[in-house]
Amino acid sequence: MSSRRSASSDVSAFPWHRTHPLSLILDIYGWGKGIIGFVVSMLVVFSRFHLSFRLVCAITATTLIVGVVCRIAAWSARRYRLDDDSLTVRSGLFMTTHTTIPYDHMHAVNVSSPMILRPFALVTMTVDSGGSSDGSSITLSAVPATLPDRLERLRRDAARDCESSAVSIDAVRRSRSMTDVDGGRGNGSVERILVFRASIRDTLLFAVTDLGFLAALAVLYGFVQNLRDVIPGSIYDSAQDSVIRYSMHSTLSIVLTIVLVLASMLAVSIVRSLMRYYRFEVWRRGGELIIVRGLFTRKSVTIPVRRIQTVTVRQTALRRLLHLSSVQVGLATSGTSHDDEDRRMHGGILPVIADRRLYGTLRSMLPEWDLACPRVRRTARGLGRYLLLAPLLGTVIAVAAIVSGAMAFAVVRASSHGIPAAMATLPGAADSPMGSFRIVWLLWLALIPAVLGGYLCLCRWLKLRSEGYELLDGERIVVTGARGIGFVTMFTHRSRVQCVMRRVLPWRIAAGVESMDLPLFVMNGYSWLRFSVIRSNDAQRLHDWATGVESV
Amino acid sequence: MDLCVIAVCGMTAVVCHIVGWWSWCHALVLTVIAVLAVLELATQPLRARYAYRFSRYSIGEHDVMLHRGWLLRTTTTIPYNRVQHVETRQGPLLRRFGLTAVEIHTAVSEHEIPALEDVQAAAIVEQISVRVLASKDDV
Repeated sequence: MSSRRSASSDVSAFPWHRTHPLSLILDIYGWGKGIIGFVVSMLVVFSRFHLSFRLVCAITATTLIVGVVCRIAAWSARRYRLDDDSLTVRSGLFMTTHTTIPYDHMHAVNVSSPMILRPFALVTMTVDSGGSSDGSSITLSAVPATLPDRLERLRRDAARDCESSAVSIDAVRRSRSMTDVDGGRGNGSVERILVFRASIRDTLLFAVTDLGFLAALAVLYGFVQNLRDVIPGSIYDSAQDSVIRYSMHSTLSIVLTIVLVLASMLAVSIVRSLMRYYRFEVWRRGGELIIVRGLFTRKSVTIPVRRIQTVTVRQTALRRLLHLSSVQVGLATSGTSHDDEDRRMHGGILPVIADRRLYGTLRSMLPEWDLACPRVRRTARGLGRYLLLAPLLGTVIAVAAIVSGAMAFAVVRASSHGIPAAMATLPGAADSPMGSFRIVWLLWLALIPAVLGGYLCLCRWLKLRSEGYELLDGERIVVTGARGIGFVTMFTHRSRVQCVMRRVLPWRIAAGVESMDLPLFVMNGYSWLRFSVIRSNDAQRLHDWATGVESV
Repeated sequence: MDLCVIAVCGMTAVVCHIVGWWSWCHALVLTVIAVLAVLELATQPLRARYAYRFSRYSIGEHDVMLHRGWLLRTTTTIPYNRVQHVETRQGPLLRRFGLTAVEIHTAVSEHEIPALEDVQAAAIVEQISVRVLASKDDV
């Protein structure tokens, strides 16, 4: 350690590096894309002031030149350095900022290899240190493709001293026969072991059963809306009218239109999934989990296993019917991708997998966690009235209020005009929209609380059926539950629970029923262990376990 | 804050009258907002007494416990080995009465003990800090 410290003090041993000029070009391109809307808006504003064409051109050119010069200056001032203990980035022309992330504080290393960078043997690398504060992550675009491996070596060396939970790589090796000696990448004796590879069938299954399937509808709608901007309005409107007229022509055409829309959504979803999850692989290398995926842009995420906060098995209602699950590891980083889907799946280690293979695959990936199908103690059993009474009553009251209000209004209007209540209309001229609107039609409004209340009751019922826990070995816990109309199974360690929150209403104290939350430091997914209703003795048991009281 | 809301509602009503945008719809919305603000202002002393009456804290051997509320009774237990840092806060009003608020931060949230006497707050910060140092745990 002392030699490392002395080396650290020798600045010349750790020279500063500048990123490749391609990063400058990408930065300028991103900035240009960002301000193009602003520039167009300013041109419209300037046109109101009747400025000369030359002046407008001069202002635009000056804006662009100043922006480009600023970016060049920022790029030239930005340097990075890998020393024995940490990665440091120096940035800023006038006010220099140093951002340092020690190797043993890194929670995830994301490497992206877009096609544009591949001919130059460059990658974009993001290092997360946990949390979401300013400076908690470092992004280096267009750096040598060998840099992530070098960083991993240094990080492993730095972590060797403090890594108490040494990984039994033998356990991984025993569980899988397929290995890849990583000597070619300059890693010495550490082996990379392939623990999971998603097949094309898996990816297609993911696409068909993912909610992105519905999101594809939004993509299609956005595409159609964008067409309005490039096609003359009259042509767009006439085309829209033709499509609506044709699709509503007969029952067959309506069915065909629905099938066509569904097929289009499915196609979009499949293409998106293939681009993201093509050749999805999970590797183990010592104490690290490496996730590699992507068709055009290959992305990899390196996660130190000891930084994993939770392992979450999720099932949407559709996937539960098909006996499929997806798995995500909870991390203290939220991911730096700008893509919502990428952020949602940050830490995803199994996009979709059949239930019968689930725990075997997980044991191969994370032998330290010793994951197995839990036998939970159901906490909400027999407490259905506490979960369902309030939403049921709320729904009934809301529906009754709308129905009785509408009927009373109709009766009052009808009696004043001497007509049947069913014929009563809103106040207004008879030929106006208000005057011709029958009051009894307001009864349809009762559908809104009925549907919302029904959904709430369904969610509560799923919680009732699924909430439970099992204390695995004193240090670990598995909690099952429902989120919306999906099911969740979360494994975590006691050390990941940040505090214990118990809530009780006075009239439930005698019955010994309360609710309980155990917040976790997870930034990329479910961050609570939650019990909507739980008996006080169970709550006290979990409280004592979480706080480390010995009576458990 | 409530007074500001009421004042803004009044000014909006005047401006709407002047520019001719006044209708029963405007009147209804502004009246509802103003009434809610007045209600909040009127019940503020009661709510403050309620919060004070039903707020408790205890500094234990392993953790800090905070109790809040009577209608919805919330108990929060923060083990010392989850505390990231402890903060004190003292605005002009608290300073005037020699009071300090203590905030206990974990990695995911912060928990406040609203108004303690200065000496007591310093002692509590010291107690918590000593116990946190003795049970430091990495996330």
